[in-house]
Amino acid sequence: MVGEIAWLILEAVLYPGLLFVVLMIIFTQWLYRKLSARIQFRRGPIHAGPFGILQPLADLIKLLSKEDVYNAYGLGKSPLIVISLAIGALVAITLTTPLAIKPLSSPFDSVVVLYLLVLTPFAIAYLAASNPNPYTSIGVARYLALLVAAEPPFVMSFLTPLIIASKYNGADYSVYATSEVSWRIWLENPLAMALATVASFIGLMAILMVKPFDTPEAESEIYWGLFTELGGPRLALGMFAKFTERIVYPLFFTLLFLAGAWPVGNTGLPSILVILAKYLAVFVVLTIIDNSMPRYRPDQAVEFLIKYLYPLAILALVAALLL
Amino acid sequence: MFLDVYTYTALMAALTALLGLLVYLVFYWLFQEAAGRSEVEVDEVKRKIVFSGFIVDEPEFPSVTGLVKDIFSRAFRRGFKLVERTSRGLVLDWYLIGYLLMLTLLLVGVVAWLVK
Repeated sequence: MVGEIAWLILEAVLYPGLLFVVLMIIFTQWLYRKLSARIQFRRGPIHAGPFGILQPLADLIKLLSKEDVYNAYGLGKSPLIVISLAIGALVAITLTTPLAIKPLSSPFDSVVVLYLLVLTPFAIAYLAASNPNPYTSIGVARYLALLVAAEPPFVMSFLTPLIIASKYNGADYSVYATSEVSWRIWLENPLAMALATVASFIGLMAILMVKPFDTPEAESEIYWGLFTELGGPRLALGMFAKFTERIVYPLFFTLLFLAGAWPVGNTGLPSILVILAKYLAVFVVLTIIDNSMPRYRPDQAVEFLIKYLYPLAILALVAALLL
Repeated sequence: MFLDVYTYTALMAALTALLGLLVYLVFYWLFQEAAGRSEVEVDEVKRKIVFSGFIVDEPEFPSVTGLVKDIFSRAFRRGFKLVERTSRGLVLDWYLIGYLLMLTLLLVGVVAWLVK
């Protein structure tokens, strides 16, 4: 028992926990900056480390070392505690994926995973709103409107593969068990899976504030919206949460909709490499979209999501239940 | 590790708390407190909101819920008005029903107390 708990803590802190997530953030943010720079005919980071790969780490350390300043109307420690817990939640659910050496799973674990997954955007909104500024208020309002429009259909589309896997393969609404058979559910109910994949990807884009849904940040309209009033360690933790979202959300998308570790099994190094390769492909696609799309107006974004994403996600859910 | 649902939930909650604490300690406390306070500068604009170089003593903070409502009303003009009218009516109806229920309970309570 003590050995198992020690192993679990080791996994949570090192791999696929906190250290792994931090290393992934450094790599993916470097990749994001390099790709964005290529698209915009720039060179991107080049100075810190080989090919500039340590630039995100240098930026993180710079922000963390600064004095913690917040405005006279702001809250002290509570936003820091909330955002730290949200990051902790996102890191904790990586232990339920096949990336973990001894993955945690249980019947209906998807309820806990979904709860922890959709918690972080609200923690980011709280961090932003706790340092008030007129531009921040507009950013937070835009973010909340986007979340109201995007999170329910994202959750519905997330449930679709779980329902199919539980119906035909006895997955018991477990994320890990579903990821083991996620290639097979494409054959069992291709219509529901196709609809859910599209809905989930669009929902993912909106929650991650990928263009055209980056209305809460909209630099050219409202400075930096959500992050306008944040600086130093607060900004570092806010960006940490945002970048962790960009790792964990696409990772679950890969596991449930892109057949997980298929064509290899769900255990061992090959499965980890296949999952990471698929995850990186999703991340690159998101980066290219983020750099090549214009931005919606906030009302256009909400209208699009409610008009098209909700029906798509509901159809996927109905197809999964009935077909 | 395949666990039962209660153990799994408790374990995930504990891991979230542990990792949250670790994030706070490593990425905030360690840099701000343990490694010595970073240089503290004091000037007249510190902790104030500054617009265009001027300190704004009482800045206006637009209501977040008002703004969310505004975004939805722009997205669905006709539908939003209908929902707003209906919900306002419903709220009034429910308020009235709740108020009458409370008065009835109060009356029943008084009568029961008197009869006793």
